Amino acid sequence: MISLTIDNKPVEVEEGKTILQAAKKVGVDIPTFCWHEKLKILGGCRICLVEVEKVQKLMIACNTPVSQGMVVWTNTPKVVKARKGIVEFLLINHPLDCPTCDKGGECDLQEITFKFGTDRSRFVEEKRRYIIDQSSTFDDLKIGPQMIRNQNRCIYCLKCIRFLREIAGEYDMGAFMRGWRSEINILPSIPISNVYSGNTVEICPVGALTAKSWRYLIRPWTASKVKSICPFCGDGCNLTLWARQNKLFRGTSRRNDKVDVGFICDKGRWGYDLVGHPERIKSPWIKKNGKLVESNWEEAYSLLISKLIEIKEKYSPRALAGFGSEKATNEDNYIFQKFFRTILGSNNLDFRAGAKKVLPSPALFEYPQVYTMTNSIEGIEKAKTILVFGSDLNSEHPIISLRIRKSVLREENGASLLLANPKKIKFSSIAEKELIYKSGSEGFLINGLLKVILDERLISSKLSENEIEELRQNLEKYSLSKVSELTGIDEEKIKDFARKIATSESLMIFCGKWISENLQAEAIIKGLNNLLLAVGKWGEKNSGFNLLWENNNSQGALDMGILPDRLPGFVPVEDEVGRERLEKIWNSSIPKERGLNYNEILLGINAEKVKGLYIMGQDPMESFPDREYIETTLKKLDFLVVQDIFLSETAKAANLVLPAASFAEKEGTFTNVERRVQKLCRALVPPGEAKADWEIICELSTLMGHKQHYTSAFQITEEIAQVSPIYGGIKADRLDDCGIQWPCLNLNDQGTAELMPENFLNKTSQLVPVDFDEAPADHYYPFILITGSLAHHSGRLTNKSANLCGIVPEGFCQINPLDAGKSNLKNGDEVLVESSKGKIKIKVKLDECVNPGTVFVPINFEHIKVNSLLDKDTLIDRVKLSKER
Amino acid sequence: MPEKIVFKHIDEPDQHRIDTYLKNGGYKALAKTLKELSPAQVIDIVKKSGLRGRGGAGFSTGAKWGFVPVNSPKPKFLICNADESEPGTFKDRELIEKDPHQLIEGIIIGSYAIGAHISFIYIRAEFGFGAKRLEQAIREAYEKGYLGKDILNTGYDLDLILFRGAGAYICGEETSLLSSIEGIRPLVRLRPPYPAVSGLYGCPSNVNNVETLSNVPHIILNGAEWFASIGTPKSTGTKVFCLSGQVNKPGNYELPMGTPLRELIEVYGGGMRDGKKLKAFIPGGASSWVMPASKIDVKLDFESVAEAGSALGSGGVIIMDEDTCLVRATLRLVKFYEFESCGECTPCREGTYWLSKIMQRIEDGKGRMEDLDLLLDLSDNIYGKTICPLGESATMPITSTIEHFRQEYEDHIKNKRCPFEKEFNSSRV
Repeated sequence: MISLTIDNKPVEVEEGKTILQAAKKVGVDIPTFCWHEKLKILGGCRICLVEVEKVQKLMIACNTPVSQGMVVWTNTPKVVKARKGIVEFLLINHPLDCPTCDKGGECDLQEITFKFGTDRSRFVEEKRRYIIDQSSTFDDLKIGPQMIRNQNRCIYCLKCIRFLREIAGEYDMGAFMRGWRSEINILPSIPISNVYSGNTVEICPVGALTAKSWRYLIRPWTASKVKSICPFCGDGCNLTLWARQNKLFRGTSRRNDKVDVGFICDKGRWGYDLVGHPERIKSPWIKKNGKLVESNWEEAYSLLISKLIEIKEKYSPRALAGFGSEKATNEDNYIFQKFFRTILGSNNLDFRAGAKKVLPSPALFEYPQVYTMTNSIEGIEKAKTILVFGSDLNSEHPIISLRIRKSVLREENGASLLLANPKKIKFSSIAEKELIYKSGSEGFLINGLLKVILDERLISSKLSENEIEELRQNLEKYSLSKVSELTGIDEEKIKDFARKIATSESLMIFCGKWISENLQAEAIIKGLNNLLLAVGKWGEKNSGFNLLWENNNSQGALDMGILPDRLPGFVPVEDEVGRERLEKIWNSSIPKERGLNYNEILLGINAEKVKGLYIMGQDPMESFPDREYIETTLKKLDFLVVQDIFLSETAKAANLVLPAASFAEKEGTFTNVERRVQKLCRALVPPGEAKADWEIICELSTLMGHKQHYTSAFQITEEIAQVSPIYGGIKADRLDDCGIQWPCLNLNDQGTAELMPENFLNKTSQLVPVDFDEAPADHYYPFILITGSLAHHSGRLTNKSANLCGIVPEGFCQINPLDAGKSNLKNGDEVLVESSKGKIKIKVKLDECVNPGTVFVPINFEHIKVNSLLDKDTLIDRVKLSKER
Repeated sequence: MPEKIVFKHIDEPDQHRIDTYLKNGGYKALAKTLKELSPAQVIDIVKKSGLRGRGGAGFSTGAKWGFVPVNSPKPKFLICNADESEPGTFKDRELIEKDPHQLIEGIIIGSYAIGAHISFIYIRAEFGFGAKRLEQAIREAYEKGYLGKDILNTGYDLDLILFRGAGAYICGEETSLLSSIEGIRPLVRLRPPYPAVSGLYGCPSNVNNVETLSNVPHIILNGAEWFASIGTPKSTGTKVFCLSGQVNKPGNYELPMGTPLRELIEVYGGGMRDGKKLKAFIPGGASSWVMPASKIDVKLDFESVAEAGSALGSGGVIIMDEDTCLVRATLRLVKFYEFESCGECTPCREGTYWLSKIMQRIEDGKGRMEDLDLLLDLSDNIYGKTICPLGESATMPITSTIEHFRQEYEDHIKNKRCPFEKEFNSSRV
């Protein structure tokens, strides 16, 4: 430790810390402009100059390391004069247009001038101006769909481009020219479009970068700031919502070092506007004579109750099924399943609309059926080798991607990044090795890797001889040449990749949508766990398997027991002790038999066994990977009720539509991909008569004769803690700081960052070989179709965000330039994509990120009904392309 | 004529060709170095010779080499700074164009001393001819086995890369220069870490001036004591002075350190042009303080010039006669710095903008008396507050001319015109 004094205050800090860090520790205020805790030090603004005894020159506090016995002064006449001088310099060319500047009230230049500047200017010369439009004095330059630059206000701290370069790895904005002519700009006519760009607006200390969506609307100090959680992906970034008069004006980051480090993606920053979309449903709608007509709660409830009771009594409770929501809160989902299990008496519950075949329910304490992140987001920084298998991580999880990038680029021993995906992703540029496999051949690739590890004697000595022998026998079927043929990857590359995995010091595996929604998801996940076991990294520190769920509360929906065979906390329905414990708490019986899962419910409807379906906050018509099937299936229902915030395609087919509150209009908790339970607060009153999902279901229960006593969502949170042991210590007021990761067993438990063997019932895991199906070839449909989500969108929901649609307005079909050449297709051509199930018209985009023989279509756009091409029963989807004339 | 070192063969035809260079004793120092001396011994000799950086700062070259960690796992680099852009300085240009092998030999010895196997010459964009000469010389050196693998069969490898700048004065500052080679915006880097620890691509690096490195072969051949016996005890060896301005024979003169300015002007420069009187001079390139004629007897070595209130800098001696308008001369210098400021730090970026506007107003006859105090106060707000010396350099002509020639400024302001203009013309600068 180093001791020094700052303004006579003694302070002790570790060696290597700077004067600025030491000053913060003792509460001495040293102003800064260009300094940012997460960025490398630039030292350019010079506002942090301080006097150090025995040093002639003033020193910048941000970059001067402390030394033993140092005596620092921040308030001597010399320092005061220097600061005033810097502020004066910064103001000479600044337009001082504070009355019309959006940054007013939260501007560092205003603040520091106020504190440290002078009240007079000695500058009588002409100010520098970057004239954009002679007729205006604003000089606003649009540099992206959401971004406006006003160079006159810029103080050249370079935080924007430093952030983009150092943290985000983006280069679509830069500094041009030099001296006072320097400017921040984009390359001519290439608008900034990276998914992290909005952070530059937030960290800009002045009004040089502003966002279109917020400009000239309100002053920041007149808005109320509400703590919320981003609803657009599973990362769970912390947001501040800025609301006034029941309208949202802005979303900004709310730094949580465990999750987002203070940077969020543009989807989270600008997607809030969908909350105020005019098409929000504001009252219940009832289908009368084939048309939905506006109604009221009274009529809606009485219709709903009569139908539910009718079906239950006419058929059986099992004729009723419910789809919970990956977007709704834990409380909503908890109440939903409780309602189904206790009042309706049905275990027919699921929520996983995106998968052709749902995974078996997680057996929480039995490896390898843990479908969550076993590592933590923060822990990624300690990774040595990171394998991303089957995930467009950069698009699906933009903020976790930043953490991985940081781990890869860290100065000492950066992590090795290995990618195995059906197409190139943004990470390709920093990956050490990358394999592009043919979609559908995931399992063969895994077994090929295992084979190399086995053949080259790289297998872990922790495995028993039996396990190894069993694996050897199983892998005999998988010759490397066959694996190479099926995956489309050179044998040598597979060998190389396997060696890297086998020799890694620790290994974190990340899987995403391309695995979780795969027909063979279960086997692939087992295979990847086998890979961990084979290299001896299972249960090791900084190693583990991580399944990254796509949506903001997919994890929570699982945890809450929106599953046919699991009660909250993953207690099996058939487990008598567990069930009885819950029956006691709920003071009601729970059906003993497991219910139907997603696929089974749809089968049940077709078999006329399921008659009534209650869908809360999901749109299977758009998201189920077989549009024709889901459409015809839902039509067969006697009664379909949909509870949502918009009149979705599914809602249009419903007999009853109930208006729900959005994430900004309710309280509750979300659980992110790393099992972190986080709290969101209410910023707005729901529009019209809309209500929070849990409120609707509670009112419904009460009307059905089961009086519900909850007055707030957080009372439900407390009940969840009582019911689910892994949520045992989760209480709303404990979540204010940074949330808590389950398992959190009691109020003294700080949560569990990494799931280690001691967290599992089977503390060791056995390697059980798995086999895979081969995807049949089909020459009539020569292209493999892969789908995925774009970074600027979240499912179909963000179609309602004008801000985000302004950035990425329409879908496209990515095709390799070689294929395009053969079919004589150019960028922007309309093409007919046809499968055995259906066809869609779409614009072509030439991109080498897809291999020849593969096309990629994003799922995010209303006007492209991608799921009409998909077949729920096939391992992969094949299409043909023809040029539209 | 006193003994010349780096300019010894400068006027020989074809000295830039390796054959002539070898005939004149070239690459003997290299052979001696690689065959007889350890890197530590080389550094020791250079330290003992007292050789100080000729780029302007005057830091001990041997000491600077010694800062490069011996046992670093990272590669090390030696970079020759040939970005000579200091107004009034043109010595490196002549050394590059006329005796490139002398420089290359110095680079190889320096690289050997610090343990570098890749070396760069960063040459300014405008030196097209010099770059061609260097390219040819490097090719010749490779052909003869002085560069590349296993130099002179000693097992020492060195590749020398000629890197051409893109035309920014700031790239003469060593850390900007490193960024420029890396291909990123050449902003000045903060110290610590120093380039010797974390320089090019974050690896230990040493940046040395052309003239400095050109001296090295001679020190190796003739010994540290020989070099230290020339010049003054603290400023050893010779210095190439770039004499410019209103003298009869402007040009490069290599003279022992400590030669009086009067001797430089009168003996070597052939006296003042047209018999005019000396009014002021700049001793060390634009980045030093302007001195009045009364200081003509100052000795040109680091210590004496500093004692007289300026700096020896790069040795660019600019002579100004009685007809020179010092306000306009100062304005010209300030405009240079304003144009070349990289913009990274506030005082330099904004300060040079402001200073040049005020200077322009005064020269145009629109000055106010209070502008003089304002200039001094702004200069004080810049000096010592910037990242690198560029911004400070802009204040030097201002503070020194106001100190010594305040009357001239006041004349401009009182008469509302430049007294040296025969006809009023505000657009001359």
